[in-house]
Amino acid sequence: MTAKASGQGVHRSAVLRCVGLGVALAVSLALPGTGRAASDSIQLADVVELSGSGASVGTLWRDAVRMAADELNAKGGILGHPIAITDYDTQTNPSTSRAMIQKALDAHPYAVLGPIYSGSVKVDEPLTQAAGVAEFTGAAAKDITHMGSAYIFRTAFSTESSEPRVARYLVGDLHAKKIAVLWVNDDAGRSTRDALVDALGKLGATVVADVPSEAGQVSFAADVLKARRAQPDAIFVYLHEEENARFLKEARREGIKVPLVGDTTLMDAQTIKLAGADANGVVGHAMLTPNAPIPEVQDFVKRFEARYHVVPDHNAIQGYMAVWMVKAATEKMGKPDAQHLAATLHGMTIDPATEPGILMKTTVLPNGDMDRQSFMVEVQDGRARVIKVLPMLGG
Amino acid sequence: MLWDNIDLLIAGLATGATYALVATGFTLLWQTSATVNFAQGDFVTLPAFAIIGLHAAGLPLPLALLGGLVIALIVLGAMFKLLLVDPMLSHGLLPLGIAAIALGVALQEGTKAVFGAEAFPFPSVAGGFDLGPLFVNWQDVLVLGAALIAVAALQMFLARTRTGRCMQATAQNPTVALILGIPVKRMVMLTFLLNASLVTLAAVLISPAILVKFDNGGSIGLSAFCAAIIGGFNQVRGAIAGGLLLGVLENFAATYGPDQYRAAVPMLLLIGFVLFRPQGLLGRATERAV
Repeated sequence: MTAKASGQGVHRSAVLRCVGLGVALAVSLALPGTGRAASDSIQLADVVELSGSGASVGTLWRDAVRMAADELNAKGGILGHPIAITDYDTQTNPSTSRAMIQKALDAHPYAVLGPIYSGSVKVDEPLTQAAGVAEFTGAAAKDITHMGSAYIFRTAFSTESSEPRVARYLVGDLHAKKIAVLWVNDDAGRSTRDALVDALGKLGATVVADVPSEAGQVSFAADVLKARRAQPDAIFVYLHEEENARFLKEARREGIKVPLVGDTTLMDAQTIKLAGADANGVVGHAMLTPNAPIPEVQDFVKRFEARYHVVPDHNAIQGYMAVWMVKAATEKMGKPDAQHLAATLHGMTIDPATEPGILMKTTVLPNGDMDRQSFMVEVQDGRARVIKVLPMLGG
Repeated sequence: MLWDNIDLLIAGLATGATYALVATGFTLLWQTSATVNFAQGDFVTLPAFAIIGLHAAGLPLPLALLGGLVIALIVLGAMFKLLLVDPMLSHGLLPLGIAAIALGVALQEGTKAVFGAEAFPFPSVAGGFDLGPLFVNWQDVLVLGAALIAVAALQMFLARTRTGRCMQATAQNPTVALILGIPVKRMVMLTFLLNASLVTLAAVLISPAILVKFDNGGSIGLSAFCAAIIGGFNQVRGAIAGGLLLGVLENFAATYGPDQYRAAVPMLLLIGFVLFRPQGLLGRATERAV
């Protein structure tokens, strides 16, 4: 009898504990509580290159994303919902990037910001597509918006948009017929090289030296020699910022006199800082530049410099713009609606007159590419100066 | 064509000379304390950051260089030996090697946390002179000259001074050296301090070309390790020969070889030496009881 009573007591207390836990769980889920802030906030997963060879690129993007979120939160967030940013580090490694995207998607973010490196985006894109989450990337490789995802959005020009402009400058303005092409052997570099060679061919110019290099390459003596031996009228260079600086130092050392023409990274603030006087005279196309003669851009640059004590580059500007693209589309919908965010963005034109954080008038094309003004830039006295503003392709 | 090759040779020797300095540190540490320092490349990064940090803080460049050397001697010399190598060495080579890799990661992440992920320029010597149709950079002359003078001085120190000979005796047989009255512990510490000095010099010489960035150490360390193996891991002069050879071969392979395989050259060379001449170019074959 005692044993039976004891057994019943154990059973009863176990049942009561289970019921208590169940009630507590139900209450915590049903009532406003600790989970509410998370559900009310707009969760943005920032999946970028925070270590590895792309760390400098990803860090500037992340800093600008944080700045945009803080500025918007100071004004009440998006439609009253605060923005919460969670950072994930791709380590500049496509397989890590894919794992980080999956981890980010498991937390059901409103949108994914990044990565920036094309190789990473190519392997990530199917995941955001399957999850139906909008992904904003600074990657430039052509394939990215040709993979059938309705959820991918560029903040950078595609190489298909950029390189015809560079080719026109080389052939039309510089009257160059023989071009040496130096490019970094990764997805963005290869895509840039392919698009430029194609565009040059259509304009009747010849590629006389086609020289790939590795990311992180230390010596450019052989590359410069190969280009010099081909006796080109101009040399086109598409490398990462640090390699640009190493190349420019070597090119000056070897007495290269022909025009050095690039796209965005060659005239980037980081390249100029590292190459010093060796960057003077470099010219090229810049999809974004902190020296753009646009008041909104100049204002952003001042605020970024005041906050982080570094000059923002094109990656920082893109990260900032990405958050404002999310804001503009969400406000157009009238409520945070992750499922319809992508559909709302397609075909949308965002104007700084109504959304000052977008900095420049931007149109999102149906395939996720974007259109806006761009710039021809020349480095003079250690500063990138805009020598020509190129109109939006769509007028 | 001839001048082009001379140009490549000069640039390759300048790069190779810095590999040689770092590789020499590898062999010194191996000989005196059986330490394979896999953080050696990252050791080059720390003094570079220390120097630009002190310079940015307002110290004139010579004082910043001196400050960088002092920091390297303390952190990469004395502290490295006392806090990591000494406690780990009794556990065997593998745990020590893994601890050195961990130290390298810690140095990378530490410098990134303090200085950020972007690269920084390093002061260099401007100008140059014409040599036939070539323009030879003073910076390349400085790199090659300083590295060669440093290794020659090191060789003289090891061969001609009492302390140097004591260090060699310690390297060859520490037990016998101890019986002969050589202060073995002091000699080993001196080797670590010498290594810290060599990586500081390498940092000063190579940083103008490759810039200062938190993750530079990986490629420098790998090249220097290959150079040490190629030259002979148990000979300082082998490490020098290996470094110079590797620097020159990298440039010529990049010019005349297939572009896609340029990064593989050091590895192919390393594999070739391990298979067919494991003692390296100038190293001694040694026997070991198993």
